[in-house]
Formats: sequence, structure tokens, C-alpha cells
Amino acid sequence: MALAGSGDRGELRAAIEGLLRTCVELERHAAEMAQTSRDQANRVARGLVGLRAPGVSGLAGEIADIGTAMSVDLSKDFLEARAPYVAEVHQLLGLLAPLHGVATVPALSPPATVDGLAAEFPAGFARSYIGDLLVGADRSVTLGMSEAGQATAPAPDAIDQSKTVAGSQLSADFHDEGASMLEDPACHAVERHGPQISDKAQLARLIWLKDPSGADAWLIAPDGSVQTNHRCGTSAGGFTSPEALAKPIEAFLRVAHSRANDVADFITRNAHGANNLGVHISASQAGLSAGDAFGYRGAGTGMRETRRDWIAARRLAMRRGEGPVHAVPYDPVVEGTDPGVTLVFKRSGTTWRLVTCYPVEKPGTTNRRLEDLA
Amino acid sequence: MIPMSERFKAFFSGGLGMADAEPDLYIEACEEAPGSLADVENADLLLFRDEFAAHIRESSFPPGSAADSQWMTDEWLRDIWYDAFGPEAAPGDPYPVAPEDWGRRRLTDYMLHAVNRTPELSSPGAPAWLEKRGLTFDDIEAAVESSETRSVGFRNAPEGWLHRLHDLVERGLREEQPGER
Repeated sequence: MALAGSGDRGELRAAIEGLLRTCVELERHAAEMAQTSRDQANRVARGLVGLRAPGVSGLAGEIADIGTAMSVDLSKDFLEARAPYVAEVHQLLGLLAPLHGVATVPALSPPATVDGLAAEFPAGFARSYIGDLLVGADRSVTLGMSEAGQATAPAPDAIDQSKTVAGSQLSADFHDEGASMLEDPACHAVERHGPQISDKAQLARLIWLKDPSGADAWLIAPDGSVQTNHRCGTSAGGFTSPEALAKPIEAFLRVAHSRANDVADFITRNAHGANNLGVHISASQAGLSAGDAFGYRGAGTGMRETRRDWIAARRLAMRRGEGPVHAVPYDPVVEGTDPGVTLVFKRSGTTWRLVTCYPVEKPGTTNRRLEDLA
Repeated sequence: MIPMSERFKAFFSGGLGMADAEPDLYIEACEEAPGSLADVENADLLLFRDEFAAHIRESSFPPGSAADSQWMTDEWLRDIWYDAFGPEAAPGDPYPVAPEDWGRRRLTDYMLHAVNRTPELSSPGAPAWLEKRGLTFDDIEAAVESSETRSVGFRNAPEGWLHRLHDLVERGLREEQPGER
């Protein structure tokens, strides 16, 4: 069976993104104008306060009120000005829905009854799709190739120190086992997600695939392309302190030892013959709170299909040394819908080695939750 | 209906489902897989593979979020199947990808992450992986170059797709997902 090409999907997406950017700019201008008018009215009102003429103090109050009323009017006008854009975007979403294989997009709510642009769109596919684009339009950042080149790897002893301090946070029962998991050469939890990595180095990893540990080579070739065999998915980030990094390890070891003779038994019986096992530990179970994790995720990567496009765009940028992809800074624990940490173990004969440990906004569809393991 | 088994989740959780989070683990899982349906001997892997095919056939792997439709989820699964088991479509796949599209009009996560311009910059397993699938480094590079002007990703949902989903729900083969009515 011949299936339609998907180019039209990309064009619809670009059109929607263009209209949303216009709305975002309109909102920014309206907010700036409202602020300016309020500030000016307040300045005038303050100027009057010093005058001793009768009735002046009342006037000063009235002038300040005008400033406030003006900014209310402006926001109302802004919502009205935005309505036609919203209606157009809604129509485009209607064209997009069947291409994604979802049902007709429900009608729009009356304008100005909702808060925020994404909330103007019906819940479900439409709102999620718009929400994903808006985050990118509003908050995205990037990094040039030469800036990425300046993001230096931490000194080797910084990595070792993160491991030592993280290990020292583990309770006496689990210290030796947890510390050796992090020390294992197969484990890159600290090398890629440790607190010694600067924010800029995390961004350089995501945008230009620069290894934050410096182990994988990274160089700008004479033809201007970037050459490396380091790899990264659609997000990069980690723990902000060795204490935070130690928390999910402690939580895992505690549960594993309470349910099985040893960690190897525990993982083996939950792996069902697979060579790797990914486990999700919720932020509350691990004891992680706001500020314990930080990272960047690719802008507009909220869907499987757009994540692929973003990866292809990054690869082109690497090839050309220009046109970098964009990313959004985030705290997975704060912004996640079901935040926590993913731990991945790899089979090694009859034992298992921890490969990695990183914070996530929500577990993958097939990630096993620690509390559900047998 | 086949509910997603613990075995299936385990096989996906640390490897084949990890391309977006840990591409290195995804690549390893694809290279450890036999690369062709005939080579599967391991009993656990056979069971996993049969369940994988059923989820593609019956659209019973639920989407990850409201923005991911069942169609796009199934398209993602077809790519993983190709990356792990080779060009032979999953048994009973109602919408198999045209064999000539792979690596040319359609790039998978393995191609994007593991296959770079030269073997030196690629995964050590990439030459064997490409050869098994009748592709070259140049094929993938050309497709990446073309991705700027045309889509090399998932296809659009076909005519009658929602009808098919409703039918699968009525036959008890899958659970209905939000946004399908």
C-alpha cells in the first residue's frame, strides 16, 4: 500500500510555529507597553505628591489608577488581537490531526476565558502539540560551535572526587557496594551526569556532542565539520550535587536488599532474559527535590516524530559546523509529570553492572518501576 | 489482547526503547540482536520477538504522551524492529515500509546515531549492520543530507486508520487511547 509522504506534516508544523511565535511576540510587546504605561503614570503621580495645593493627593491617586486601568485594557486588547491567530492555528491543527492518526480536533473555547496560549487549545493532542512548540519558542537557547569548543572538561580528579563524595553519602550498609558501582569502568553515571559538569558543558554535549568527561575525542576538522564518536540523545543533564546523585543509588540498594539475597538475584529475576534492565525510581522514593537536578532538552522534542527530526537536524549541524539545534533548560524534578531517576544495569556473566543513572521528567513507557519489581 | 508482559518491558527498558535517552545502549541492543528473524534461537528473545510483532500488528503499545498518536508510536516500533531484526517486516504488519525506502527515504535511530560519515566515527558494529541490510555509509549520508528538504522520518497515517483502530478495540485486541474518537 502506498502511503502519503510526510513533507506536508513538516510544512504545517512550520506554519503553526510561525503563528505561535507571532503570538509570543505580541504578548511580549503588550506586556512591555502595559509596564511602561504603568511606570509613567506612577512617575507622574509621585511628582505630584510633593505639591501642597488642595486636592492634589486625590489627583495623584487617580493618575496612578489610570496607569493600572490602561494596562488592563492593553491585556484585554491583546487577547482580542491574538484570537484570529489562535483560530488559524486551530484550523492548521485540524489538517494535521488526520496525518497523525488522531480524531478531529475539538472546537476552541471562547477567547479570553483561559490563561495562557496553550490552554486556549482543547486538551489532548492539540494542547500538547502547541505546548511543545511554545516551550521552544519561549525559552530556547543554543551554543555556537566555537563556544562549545571552549567548554572544557573538568579535571580528572574532579570526577574522582564526585565519586568519592557521592559514595560517602551512602549509609554504612550500602557504602561499599554503591561506591564500587560508580567506580566500575562500565558506569558513566558520574562522567556524564555528575555535579562536576558545568551547565555549559551539558549544553555543549547536547548541541555539539562534546563529551563532558573529555574521554571521547572532539575536534573541528579542516572542512569545518565537527568530528566525534560521542553520542547523546535528545536531552543532557544530571545531578547538581554528589548528595543528590547518591540518593537514588541508596534507594535502589535498600529495596533490592529487602527483597532478595543480593542485587544480582534481584535484577536477574526481573530481567526475564534481557541483557539490560532500566529501572525508574520516583523522585519521592529517592528523596530528590527541586534544584537537585538540572539539564537541557532539545527544543520541540516532545513527540517521537519530532525527536527524530531534531536528531537529524543536529547531525546536519555537526556536518556543517553551523546552524546549531536549540534546547530548553529545565529542572526535571520540578517540571516533570512523574519525575525520578532512571538506573540502567547491564548483565555481565552472572552479575550485573550499573551503566548509568540520570534524572528524568517521567519514566519511559516500558521502564520498570522500583516499587513494582518482584 | 496481549497486555505488555514483564519480559517485553524488560527487553525494551534498558536497550531497544532507549534511543532517545541513551543511544549507546540502543546501538548495543541492536547489535546484540540477531539481525535477522531466522537467527533467533534464545527462547526469551523468541518470546519477546513474537510479542513485539503482535504489538505492531494490533497497535497495542500505548503512546507515550497525548502528543504521540498510536500511528506515530507504531511507526517508531517499525523502526526499532528494522534496527534489531533487519528488513523483513514484523509478521502480519498491516503497513510494512517499502524495502527500498530504508536508509534512503527513511532514517532510523540506529542510522542517525551509529552510522557516521566514516567507519572510524561510527559504531564498530556499523559495517556489519549495514552489510546485512544492503546499505552503505554513503547511502545514509546522502539521506541525512536530503533530510533538510524532505522528510526522512515517519509516514502520515493512512486512510481509514481510525476505523482500523476502532475495529481492533472492538475485537478486544487493544485498549482505546485518548483522542481516537
